[in-house]
Amino acid sequence: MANVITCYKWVIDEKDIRINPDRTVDMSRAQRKISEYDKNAIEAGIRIANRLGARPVGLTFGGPEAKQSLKDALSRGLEAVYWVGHPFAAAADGMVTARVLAAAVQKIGDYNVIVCAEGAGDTYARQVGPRLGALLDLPVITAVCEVEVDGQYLVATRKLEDYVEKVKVSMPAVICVLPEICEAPVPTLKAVLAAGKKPAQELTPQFLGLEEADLAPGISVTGVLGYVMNRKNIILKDGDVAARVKELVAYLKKEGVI
Amino acid sequence: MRYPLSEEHLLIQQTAREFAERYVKPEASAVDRAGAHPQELVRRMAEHDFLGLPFPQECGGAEAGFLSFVLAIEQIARASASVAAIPVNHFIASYTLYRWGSAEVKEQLLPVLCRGEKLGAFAFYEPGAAPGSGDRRLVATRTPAGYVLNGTKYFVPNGGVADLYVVVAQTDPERGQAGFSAFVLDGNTPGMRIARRVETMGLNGCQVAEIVFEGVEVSAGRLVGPENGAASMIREMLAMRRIAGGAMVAGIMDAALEESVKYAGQRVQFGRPIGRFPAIRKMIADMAANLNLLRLAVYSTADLVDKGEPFEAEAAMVHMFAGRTGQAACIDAIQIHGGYGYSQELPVERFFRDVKGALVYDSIMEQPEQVVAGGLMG
Repeated sequence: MANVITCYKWVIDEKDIRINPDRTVDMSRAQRKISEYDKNAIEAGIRIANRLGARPVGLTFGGPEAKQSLKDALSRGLEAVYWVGHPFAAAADGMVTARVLAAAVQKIGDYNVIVCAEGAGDTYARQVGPRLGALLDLPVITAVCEVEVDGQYLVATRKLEDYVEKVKVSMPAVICVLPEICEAPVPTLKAVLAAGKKPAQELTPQFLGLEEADLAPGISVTGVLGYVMNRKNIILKDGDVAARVKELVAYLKKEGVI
Repeated sequence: MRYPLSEEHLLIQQTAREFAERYVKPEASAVDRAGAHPQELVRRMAEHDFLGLPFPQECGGAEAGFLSFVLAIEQIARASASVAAIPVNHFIASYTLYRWGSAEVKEQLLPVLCRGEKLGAFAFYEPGAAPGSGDRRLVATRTPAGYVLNGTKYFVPNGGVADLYVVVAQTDPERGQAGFSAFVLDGNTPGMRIARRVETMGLNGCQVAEIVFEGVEVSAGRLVGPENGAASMIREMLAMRRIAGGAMVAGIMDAALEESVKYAGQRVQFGRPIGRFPAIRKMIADMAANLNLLRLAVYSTADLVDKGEPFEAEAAMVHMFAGRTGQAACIDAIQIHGGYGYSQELPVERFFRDVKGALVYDSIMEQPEQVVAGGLMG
């Protein structure tokens, strides 16, 4: 049976990130979760697989902590999950991640659709899907908000800046989906308990034929600081309402807002 | 300081939180204000297996154990204790049938309860007095076909919206506490009627009713456990209710703490956030420490249940600790929020009303202090 492979990322829960007074970022107490956008992608992959009569599987590349994601991913309806674990994942850029995922996809084999979220919940770099398609020499459709199966083709609606575009692509293909592709259901608790009985397989970089150099990122993050919005703190409190509105409009024009 | 939960327990906790954030939290204020039974949320909880979570699969449950159940209840209570109270009271009725029901009762009734096709309630209290001692006490009189029930039950959670009622009635007045029996009745049994809804201070989404029984005929097959055998059931049921109540309190405290930390970081007084003031920081620290300790107590006691070890004394300790710390945390949360905390603009006043409700349900028959001291001194 052919596979529909959905790629997902195990990210830090943004709710737990704290910005210290000196703007340094404290993630020491942060929990992790499957990227919210990837939960939608997983559900989209399952729906496409159901239409194709294919097997929905998951694939992730992460550090040792990403192993915790496997049952979570399986509880969401995937039939199997593959995990490439390596400490280098923490510093991986889009190129490295795509390289690892491409090697894993080839190892899993027999795929007709690869689903990625448009971007991950932490970096939202929107690199992995297009790079994965390039490495596998597959057509890539990004910004997908609707998708249908039509025989050997996928018909996708792309939501672009100021218009929507409908495209048709032959499978196999990579699609990068927006969150509105579908709602990600909360798993039932029986599905959570059943997840432990489904197959989860680790694929090491060595097994995939990757060298340490393949995992070295081209981009390295040299610093992270919290973003502070400096407000102008101008309060228009003098004069009557009409005068204050006029003054406000003048300010907004001066700032280029209107 | 974390209780060592298994990977499965952590995932159940996380999934319950996701469920509560998605479906329960957005409705929490409306449920509280309307005071109506949140039918749609109950349907969703059933669909997601919350209503049969601890029971074996052959009974229609998910077979996840009691610790999983309290983890789920804590997360729902964190969003809305009103909503969490419904599966807790449903559980008590279901557990009674699971533990003491005949094979026929279990086969007929437990799967529909576990799947949430029917909602359960446990009717124990009576008007104005302990069961069996008031003028309107519920008495079950033997007949050739079974029993006839006459009297009143008061303060029945899920009353009026439940489909199945486990009812405790006096079957032998001469035997005092040892003269009570439990029966399971359909909500539409002739002669049984909801006299009125009891308005409560908190947990407004969980309907509480007074139920009148007038010549209610019950077949012998609907007796749960042995005749005159309800006392030990009630003790065990009460202990489990105390653990689940502790989980509800933990959920409410977690929500109160989260709101307080957020507000204390935003509210500026005298040129700096109030969270920088020592008095506020002490309240926050107390809330956090007590929440962690309560969780340890709730989880470890629920684990005793799953392991089949004695848990009544520990459950009473959970109740004592939850009572002291839960109410204090909610009062502190209101204090931290100042006038806004007292208003209905923010949820902290609801936490205070709900935490009281989560605790009073368990204070029947024996005070928890008596259970603990009795175990030590006789």
